[in-house]
Amino acid sequence: MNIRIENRGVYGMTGNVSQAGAEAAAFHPRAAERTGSVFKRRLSRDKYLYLMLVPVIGYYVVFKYAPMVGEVIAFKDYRFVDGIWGSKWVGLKHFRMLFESSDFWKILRNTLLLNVYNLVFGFPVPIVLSLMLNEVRKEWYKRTVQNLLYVPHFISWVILGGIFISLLSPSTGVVNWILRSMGIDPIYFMASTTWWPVVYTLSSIWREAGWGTILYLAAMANIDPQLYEAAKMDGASRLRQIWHITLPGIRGTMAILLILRMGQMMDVGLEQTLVLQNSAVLEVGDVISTFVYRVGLQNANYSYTTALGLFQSAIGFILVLSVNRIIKSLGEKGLW
Amino acid sequence: MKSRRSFSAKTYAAVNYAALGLLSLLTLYPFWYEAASSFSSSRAITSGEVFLWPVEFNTDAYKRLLDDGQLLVSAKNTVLVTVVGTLLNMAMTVLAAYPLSKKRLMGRGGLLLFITFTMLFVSGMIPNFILIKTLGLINSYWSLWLPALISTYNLFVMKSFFEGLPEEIEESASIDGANDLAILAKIILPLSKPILAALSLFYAVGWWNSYFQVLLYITRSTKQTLMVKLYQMINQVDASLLNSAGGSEGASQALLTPEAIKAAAIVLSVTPILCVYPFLQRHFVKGVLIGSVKG
Amino acid sequence: MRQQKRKKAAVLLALAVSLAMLGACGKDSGKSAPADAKEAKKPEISVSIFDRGEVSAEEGSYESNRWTKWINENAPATVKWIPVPRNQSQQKLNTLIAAGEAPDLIWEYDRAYISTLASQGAIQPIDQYIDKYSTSYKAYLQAHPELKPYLTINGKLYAVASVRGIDTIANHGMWIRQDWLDKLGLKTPTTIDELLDVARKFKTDDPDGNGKADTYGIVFNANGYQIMRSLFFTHENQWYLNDGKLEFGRIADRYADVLAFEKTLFDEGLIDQEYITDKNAQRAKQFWTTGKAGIFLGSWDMPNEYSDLKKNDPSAKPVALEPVATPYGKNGLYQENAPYIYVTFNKDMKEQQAEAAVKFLDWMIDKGWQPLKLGEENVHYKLVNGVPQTIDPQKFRQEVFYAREYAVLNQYSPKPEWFPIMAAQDPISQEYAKAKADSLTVAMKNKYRRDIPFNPDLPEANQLISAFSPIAEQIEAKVVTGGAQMTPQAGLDELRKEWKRLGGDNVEKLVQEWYDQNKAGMK
Repeated sequence: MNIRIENRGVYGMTGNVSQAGAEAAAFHPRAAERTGSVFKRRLSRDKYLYLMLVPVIGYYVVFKYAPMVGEVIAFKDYRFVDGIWGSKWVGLKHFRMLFESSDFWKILRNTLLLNVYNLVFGFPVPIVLSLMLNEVRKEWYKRTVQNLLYVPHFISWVILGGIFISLLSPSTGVVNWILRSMGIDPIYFMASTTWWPVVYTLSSIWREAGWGTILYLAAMANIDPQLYEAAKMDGASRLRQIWHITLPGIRGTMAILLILRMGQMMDVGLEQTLVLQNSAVLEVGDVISTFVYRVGLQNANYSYTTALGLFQSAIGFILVLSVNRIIKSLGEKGLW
Repeated sequence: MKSRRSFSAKTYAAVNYAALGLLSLLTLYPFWYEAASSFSSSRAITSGEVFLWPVEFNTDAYKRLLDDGQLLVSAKNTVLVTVVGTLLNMAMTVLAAYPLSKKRLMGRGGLLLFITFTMLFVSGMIPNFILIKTLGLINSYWSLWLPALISTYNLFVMKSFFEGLPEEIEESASIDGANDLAILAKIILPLSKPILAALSLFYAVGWWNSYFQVLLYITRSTKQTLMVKLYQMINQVDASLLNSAGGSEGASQALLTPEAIKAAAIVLSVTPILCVYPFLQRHFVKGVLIGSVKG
Repeated sequence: MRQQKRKKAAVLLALAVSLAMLGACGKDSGKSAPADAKEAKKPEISVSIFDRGEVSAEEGSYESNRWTKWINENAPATVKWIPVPRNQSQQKLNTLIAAGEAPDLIWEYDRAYISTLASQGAIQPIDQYIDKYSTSYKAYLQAHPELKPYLTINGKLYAVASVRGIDTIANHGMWIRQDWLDKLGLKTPTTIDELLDVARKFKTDDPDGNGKADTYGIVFNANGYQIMRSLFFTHENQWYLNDGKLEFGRIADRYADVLAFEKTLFDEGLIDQEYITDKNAQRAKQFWTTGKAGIFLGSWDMPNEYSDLKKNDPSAKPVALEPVATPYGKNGLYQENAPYIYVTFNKDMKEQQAEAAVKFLDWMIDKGWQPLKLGEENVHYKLVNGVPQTIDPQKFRQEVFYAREYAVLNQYSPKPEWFPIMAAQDPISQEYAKAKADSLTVAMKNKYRRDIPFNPDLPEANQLISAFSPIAEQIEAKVVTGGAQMTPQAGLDELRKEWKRLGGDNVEKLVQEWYDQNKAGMK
């Protein structure tokens, strides 16, 4: 056992080991295959695995797929009195209405843009924070800081938004106070179409970055300390250790989280947007969720909002599959 | 053996500590502000006098909240929902993640596609309600636990973690004749403490904060959860501002919650769950793998 | 090996549990605890009720408390109350309706929602039930014919409702610092120009006497926008008659005057320059309570703002301000329509159920409502000169206040002069009670212009308005806060352009048709 690991070298343990494991398994007698009864062999070999999956599949069928039948109202003119099945079939009418509404493309653009900003600027932050936390020697400090960093995750946007707005007030906010003492004119961030997306992204980061460190720190906890020892003996600086050990060690986690994040590219939180939005910035701040909220408030127009939901899901699904493929072609493990 | 740290390493460490300290103060601020408000008078809060410390210190807000027997009942309910929910979640997620992490599993790709689809395509409120009603689960906590048994997101995270564990670990056990269940229980799970702790936390927080499902399926007020009770106070609809052209109940009809009580409600809703992670943190210790691999 | 067997058992257990979960029959299927009367003789109906989280543990729950028991003992039917959270009431009701679980009687304050339910076929017309079975309510409706247009959809009666007391008809209100007027030697403004003038002096003439020009003329909460619009006889979500033709308030000619007024307020610094982001009126309330604002555009009844201001400055004298006259005349501020709660009948109700419901509603409007609003005489209130005075406010709050909405039909109509008798006896409460009485009188003094009683029940119109609103808001923000970027007239032109682009012409045609068809019934 030990020999195998030592031979592999010090760095990049995670990816290579399982590869070796797969090779080892291939030589194992239990994995021997014979054409014809392959199916039965695999079934009996993995019977406990399949057993474990039975309740899981049952769950997905009953609680995920069964209600999905109701999505069909996107293609109907749903009325309570007709029910899901009795409502009139209208095909793609709602989708057409959606795409023909000129403001829809603006809303779509805003949604995607805000998500892209969040991805580009927000995704690295928990990683950086985790790396910083990982460097802290004093355990108590590390724990305290981590606990404080994720507190905003629990505070609702109604509160956080209000605090953000007052911090950015041109007359009484702290940020502008700092700007003024540096000789810069106060900026009304929240009412500026240029600054609002920045504020939006920063507020998301403020709320979620700390929470995001949890998974990365869990992944870092699983990196063999021996790797660090060996690197130190080789004379590697702390930064080189991070670059060659820690980062590769959490590469798998990063990849997975990135792919999963792609599934959310069509979502922008309703509460956050409603709280931070105002009439001066609707050009950049009106997103799909606020659109649905507005439309949904009138008319109980479930067919329309369901059609929009299906559209969002479809795009998200395509994004997830595509990014998954890209990540895998880069040699990293994807979702599957 | 104490390693000698060069000057640059020391400055680097100092900057790190300082930066982290500053950031954590920034992130703490909203909660701190609410805590200070909860011990202040509503007048002081409305007049903008509260910044870091309570003004006109009093504990009336907490007294008012805790006086209501309903609050303690709903807190107990929330604990029940959270604990049972998290246990169910973790059991099911492990049962799902482990088999799916094995490349040798036949049909794995199809199953994963099957599952991923549900992560993106979510069904609406009405069909779900009909399902729960048909199963006779209205007003039962099972109406909350069952539909949320597995978070596909968490499932993928756990699966990815299992895939990252070296296969040699299982090899020796399976040579000895252990089956998959045994391997899962005796080898994989003990090694997975960090990820189990992290995901338990995620699930627990999800349960603690759940609001909409409870609102929809639980109508009996004795079974309400804390979040629902407090949320109604924190996010109160100011009826006089509702003002749809169709009509509303009017200005005096809904008593607005005083600011101090709102703040106290926020503190009460957040503090318990903040204590969970420190409790779990001891499982995030480095070098969990050492013991197993060396054998 | 033993361990292996144990593991197997554990997995089988897990399987069994999951199968049990899948086939689980819940302990409850939503039936409320039948602790109340088991009057087998009386028919049972189910009625929705807003859950506002106000029922304390000692009192019970919204389904079962001293008042539900009292109702079951005294009404001609027993009632199963179905609580619906106030915050998401329409969503929850829609879900219940779609799942076939809706209560027999569904009620709401929002007529637009009732109209939607009618068009979706979720509720049924009730003309014949009222005719056949009702006595008290039928007489009540005859005595209050102003209710009829609201309760009628497409010529049929779809809801019953009682008339609002004036305390729930009045909604918007304006308050002004009388002590500032006195200090600066100004008289109460009665025209829009006088209002601007007063606001300017409030800003520049240091009314709070601290030597700094740090005061605002006017602050407002979300009602502020509509108050300013109603002064000019328009509203962003109302249709007005112009020579028999309906035109939408937000694109009427006089809307340009609204924009001009708002722009003046902003450009001259008479209002908070950051009003656009002050969505929950936190800054406005802060300025008002710390004595930095002279006029508050809000509601007629604002006890918290009043008492907080008095605590900070006992010499402050906020009084109600009557709406000022504009070149278009003097309009009242927004008032609610006559009907209070619209009670509708579920489409699945059979004749027998409907009869029981009508008899219940008759009882409610007759005598059922009074204890639900006031409590028990000599326990919760005593009559002082015929005015119900609360004996112990704490007790009232705990034991009676939550029950007010069980009285879906009621004849509760407090008069302004009752307020001092009904309020707590401490000096500030008494002072506010008098201010409140005055405010209510002022709020009801001028009639609020409403050319048609309610908005057209047309999905195309609703869709257009919900698409138009955000665009309109942006344009208005640009006019008011954008300096020279856009003049009020240019803003109105832009609004009209957008309205047309979104299909305004077609909607106007449909709305006109709707009006012509229905106008007879609106008298």
